[in-house]
Amino acid sequence: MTAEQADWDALGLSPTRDADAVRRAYRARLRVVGPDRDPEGFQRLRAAYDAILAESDTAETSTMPAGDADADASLPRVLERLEAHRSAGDERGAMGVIDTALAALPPGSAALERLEDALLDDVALSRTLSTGLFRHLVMRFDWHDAQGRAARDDPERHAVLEDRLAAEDWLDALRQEAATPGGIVAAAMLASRHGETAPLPTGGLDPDTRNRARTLFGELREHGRFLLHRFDGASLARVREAVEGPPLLAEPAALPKSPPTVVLPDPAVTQRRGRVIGMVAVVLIVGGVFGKDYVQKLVFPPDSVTAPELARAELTSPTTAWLELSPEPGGTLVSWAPLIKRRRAIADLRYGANTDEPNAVMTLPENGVPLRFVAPPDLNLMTLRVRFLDGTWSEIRRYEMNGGPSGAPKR
Amino acid sequence: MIIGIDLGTTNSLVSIWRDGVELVPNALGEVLTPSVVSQDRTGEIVVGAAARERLSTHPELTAAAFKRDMGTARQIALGSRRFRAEELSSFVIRALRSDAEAFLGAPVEEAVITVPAYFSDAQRRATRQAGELAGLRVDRVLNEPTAAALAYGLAEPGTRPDGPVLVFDLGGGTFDVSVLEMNDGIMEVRATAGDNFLGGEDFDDAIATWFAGAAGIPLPDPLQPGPAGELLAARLRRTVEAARRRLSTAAEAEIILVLPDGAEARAVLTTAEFGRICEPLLERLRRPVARALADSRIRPDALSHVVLAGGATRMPLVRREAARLFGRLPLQRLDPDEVVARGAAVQAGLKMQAAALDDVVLTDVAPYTLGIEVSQGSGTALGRMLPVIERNTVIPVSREREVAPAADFQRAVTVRVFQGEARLVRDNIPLGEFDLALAPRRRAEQGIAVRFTYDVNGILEVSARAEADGATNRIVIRHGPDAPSPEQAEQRLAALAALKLHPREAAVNRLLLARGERLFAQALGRARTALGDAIDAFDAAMAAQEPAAIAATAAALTETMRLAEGENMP
Repeated sequence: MTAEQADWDALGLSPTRDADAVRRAYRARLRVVGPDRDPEGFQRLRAAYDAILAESDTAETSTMPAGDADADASLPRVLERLEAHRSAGDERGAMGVIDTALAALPPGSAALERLEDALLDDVALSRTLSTGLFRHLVMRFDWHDAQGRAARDDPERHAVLEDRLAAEDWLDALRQEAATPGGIVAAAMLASRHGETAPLPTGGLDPDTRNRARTLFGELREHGRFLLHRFDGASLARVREAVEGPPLLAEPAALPKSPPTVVLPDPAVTQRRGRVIGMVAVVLIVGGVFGKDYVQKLVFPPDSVTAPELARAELTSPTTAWLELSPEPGGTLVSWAPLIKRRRAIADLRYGANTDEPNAVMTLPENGVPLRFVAPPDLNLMTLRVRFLDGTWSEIRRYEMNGGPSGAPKR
Repeated sequence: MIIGIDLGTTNSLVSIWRDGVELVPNALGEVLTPSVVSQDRTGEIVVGAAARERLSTHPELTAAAFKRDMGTARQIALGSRRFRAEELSSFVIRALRSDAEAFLGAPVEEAVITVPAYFSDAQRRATRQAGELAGLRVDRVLNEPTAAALAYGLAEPGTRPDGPVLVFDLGGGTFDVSVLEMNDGIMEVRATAGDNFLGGEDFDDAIATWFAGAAGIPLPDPLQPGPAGELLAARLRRTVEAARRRLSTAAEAEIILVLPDGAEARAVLTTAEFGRICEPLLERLRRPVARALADSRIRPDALSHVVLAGGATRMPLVRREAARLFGRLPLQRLDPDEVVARGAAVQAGLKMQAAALDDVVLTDVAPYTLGIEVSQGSGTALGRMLPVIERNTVIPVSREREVAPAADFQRAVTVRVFQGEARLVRDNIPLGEFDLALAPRRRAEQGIAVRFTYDVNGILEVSARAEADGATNRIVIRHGPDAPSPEQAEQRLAALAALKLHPREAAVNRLLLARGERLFAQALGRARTALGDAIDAFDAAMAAQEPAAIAATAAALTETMRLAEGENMP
């Protein structure tokens, strides 16, 4: 006897598509094997009933008719008014729009669900959404609930929402830490470019504080896509420098036996390169911060990753640029996006700043943080090379910026 | 005989099934017994209306609304003694039990006790323990909204609701929403949700806070001893509660509070103003309703009825909000104060297999998601909740989930059990944990089956089994981290049994004395002297146990109180 047949037998019914008949049969059996009378028998009956209902899954949803048309008409108006308040920077007013809309719609109604879905799709994950309004939405629509409707309907969307919640919570915790006497690192990270900067001890940081800073930087990177744009890059760079010492630290990584080959650089160049490399390293940590003025609006989830085989094919194709360069008033804006997108094909990435030898190690962010930076005026050339998953090295790619290195041979 | 007990935040009731539901009156002839416990100067425990009077005269010896502390380790002081919430509740149950025994003329040893549907595991265990401390075997811990539905489901065919029904249960301290499917005596709970800290008492708090602001006095602090602290807070609470009741029928109510210095603080509360100050509370009614409806997958317009239960739904404000939420008038054919107790009696009848209830079957659900902590994604950081039994799963139920250790060759895993709806366990409530020893193997070969078994009373058993070698370990979660050990429980039982409850026969006199004392505390001048004399005489007669003298002094005290109330009582 199949499991399916056993289920029908438990209900005392021959297989049918009639959901009402199934329900009636279940109720009839309940009188004999109710949860009080026969707990074991009841559990078998219930399991059979659930299995059959799941099989004819339309049975449950068909009891949810669509909502009325009136409420539908109000949805665009609500979103419009919300948008108006948001673009005017009026957080309270925006909250009021949400509250009024909620009060007009009965809980559990189809119209309310459509409003919730619209907010989830278009508002909740927008980077320009203020923290206050975000938290208000979370509270009013019960988005904390990991088993709720929002989570059931679209688990992936809800997971992104939860990530944002975690990021906001982390930022709140960081602010609290900044207010405590020991929270110097947190305070320095949160310092704004023009505001007063929290003092970092000039004699260097003790090991505990250094470790705390490293932990916080790691966490910031994890929550980066929701938070980085709220931090000031210069402040972060300052903290980083206090922790890791002055820039010359982008260690010329342990070199592989196969190419790239080792070249002893000219000492004078090394000094300058060290500075530039340091800059790049800061940028890697602070991510999109320097480029934030150029970031229009991020659509979440921003990260579409290309599958390894395709990514490799694209990377080896001469028509695929590895870096996106665009001239900006402050210098060339360099984006790592093409490489980040194809990171699944990359086992190892090396770069060189103002050198033909890409020997410095670069780690691409796992979570798809959009890394970009404005190249400082003295950065004229970047060279790149990747090692693929099978261990083979690519050719070296050269990208010139800020007019290119004077006198350097051009392709 | 099994009795039904509705153990409420504000009032409690006891009921029985004898070919139908009967509510049992207490010694004062009332079915509502205030859930208030007080200790008198002889060390005896007073429960009910008399204890309630003593709230404003002897706040340090009296406790109320302790249902809100069920399942916590909080100790509540009555004079020099300290009690847990379940111990105070056990006094109320003892009083209800003796009322039932007097009514039936036979001893009672078993009971069905109702709890808010959204009560957690620990709160249910505490309630069960309260029954046991009162010497009762607790046959069933029944959800209050389910009980309300049982009471309605038992009505004559034609008047009883059929189809999808929503129960909106706002009591003194808790709010529950349940969505049920009712068909010919078969009641299936589809979903339940709630708020354990929302009830009539919160509306009183809101009025008290408003009054302090409107009258320009500091809000008296119930935790401060003395006439400007706990005494004044208790009197304010009483006045505010009376005003809230008046607002059910009148457009406005004046609140007058006599301050310790003899001055009067006054303010007039209109229904409109009342609505405004209660708006945040009304807003909180929405979320549980939305959760219950979404989980049941029933649209609000498909509901055949909305049923009101709980004393706080008497407030026109709350009824209006309920009507607005559902776009329809709710059903309130049964007294909302009594409907849960009526349902408890039906469940007691079911337990006794009463013939008239042959056709009644009830299935209920687990109110919370139960799960274990697992690591997140491929990393080793723990902290995620893996649901094993999702909320609103029909109970009893047994479910199994497969997990694996985080690393190769791990020698043991810790199974940590949580309850709650958050994604991360740190936002959920820990229920317990145990270790399972493993024979070291690679992760891929080291399957672990974690099984949760949840019975109709909400008792959870968790077991884990290593697939490779069959090693198992299990715990039955009966006692949360805050619960006393069995030895401590034994000691407490003995200590509580030694405490005498005031005899039932004296209840009327106790109440008269407590009322007299309350009036005395508020009265001034001549009336105060007269009241003091009358109380002393009555007290002396009671102590001497002379029936004739008691009757005479009681009559005199009643008359003095009547005069005093007419004279200068606010």
